[in-house]
Amino acid sequence: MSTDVGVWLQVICTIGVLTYLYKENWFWRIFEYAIVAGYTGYSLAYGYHNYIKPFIGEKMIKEGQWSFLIPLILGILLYARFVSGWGWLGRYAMAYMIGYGAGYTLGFDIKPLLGQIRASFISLTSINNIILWLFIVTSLAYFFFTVSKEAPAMKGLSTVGKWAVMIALGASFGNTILYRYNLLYPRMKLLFNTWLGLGG
Amino acid sequence: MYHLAAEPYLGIWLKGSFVAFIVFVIYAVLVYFFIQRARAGLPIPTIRKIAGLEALDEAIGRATEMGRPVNYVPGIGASYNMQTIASYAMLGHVSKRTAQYDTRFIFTCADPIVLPIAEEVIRQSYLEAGRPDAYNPDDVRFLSDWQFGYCSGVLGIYHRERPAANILFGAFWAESLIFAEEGNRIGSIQIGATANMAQIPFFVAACDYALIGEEMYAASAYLSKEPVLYGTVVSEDWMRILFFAVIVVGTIFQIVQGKANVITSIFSK
Repeated sequence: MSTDVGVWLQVICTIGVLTYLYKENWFWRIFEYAIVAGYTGYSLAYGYHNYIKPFIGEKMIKEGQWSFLIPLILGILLYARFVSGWGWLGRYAMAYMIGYGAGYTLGFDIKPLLGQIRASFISLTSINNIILWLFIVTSLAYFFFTVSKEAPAMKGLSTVGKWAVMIALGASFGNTILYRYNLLYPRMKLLFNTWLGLGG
Repeated sequence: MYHLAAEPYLGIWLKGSFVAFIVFVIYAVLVYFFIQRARAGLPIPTIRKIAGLEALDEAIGRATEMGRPVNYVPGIGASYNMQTIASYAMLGHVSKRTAQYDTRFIFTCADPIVLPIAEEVIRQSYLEAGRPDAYNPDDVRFLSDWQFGYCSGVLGIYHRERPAANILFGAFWAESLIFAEEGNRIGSIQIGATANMAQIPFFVAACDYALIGEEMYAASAYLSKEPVLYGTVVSEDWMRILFFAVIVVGTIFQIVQGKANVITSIFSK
């Protein structure tokens, strides 16, 4: 068994979290709060050292790049909601964020989409290509919202599309489960190998 | 990011963006056309039934009957993520319903910018429902901007508050199965919706109803019948039908003319 204090600390945290598998309990709650609180403190320090200090403290105040005043003001406006009667000021910052997201998507997300469409023009010369093409068009048809699925042609396309989507989701499910085992493995290695000294 | 690799002409035009621009213009015209028609009350195509959304009222009604809260999780996407933006509309609808039914509504988020937006949306919904007094700001919470810190906080709420209905609507990553599985464990009726391909299977497996990809974008329009949203979804669907036709035609040209066909060359501009 390990005598390393660091290992013991990791083991206590791991077991604390794993007790949740039995039921929600006070021991698990300690780690729930510790994780939330720990990361809140970390992100506060991270925000200060990576954004406020270099951009506001260094670039704006020391180097005189006053354009950083705009994001600073937008950021401060978000706190206006804590002042009674002035909360509406925060909406400008929120509107900017949402507008940025919508504008970015319209500006840059169309091109990759067109690339995908172009990649769908394939010669149907092999069984793989035929299946690929069939699944592309039918799964696209499955997501038609304004065309009734009761029409015979649409019913067929949509049914094949639904199966295509389900097959893809099944493959994705298996893939992700395997990845989750990769996350579990280091925890088990810590408990059985590093801590208890079992195994090779 | 791919677009930063090229130098834009006059600071705004990226080489090879001609077709993308044409598509953007067609889409903008369609959106304008359908929104105007919807606003004027003129007939526009209707959106087909989406099973998961039909169950929404049932889920909120169940929570009301059981005297337990409705929990809403918008995912962990940034405030400007398209899925999060779609989630705001759904949030408005769900919170309005809970206000009408006088059911407690809990909202948690992982992005500090999402919090004030959500507060505004929920407060507005309570106002529209004629119940501004029922809005409880303490039930709209920011937990942590670290994925698993947030996850841990949500699980704690699941077990302490025991929501009878759990709405997972937005951009989810590795936390999706944890939320859906635990919601199932505490007996919540669950509706999950995300456009993140790797996470959809988990919602399909662990939620009572799952909205797959595009369905989540149509959801708010389907529920609210609000002209702007409805017109947007219809125009989006017409674009999808157009792309379907382009794929079919492009493939025919590929078969007939080979790789250097007319359609492929147009798409390269």
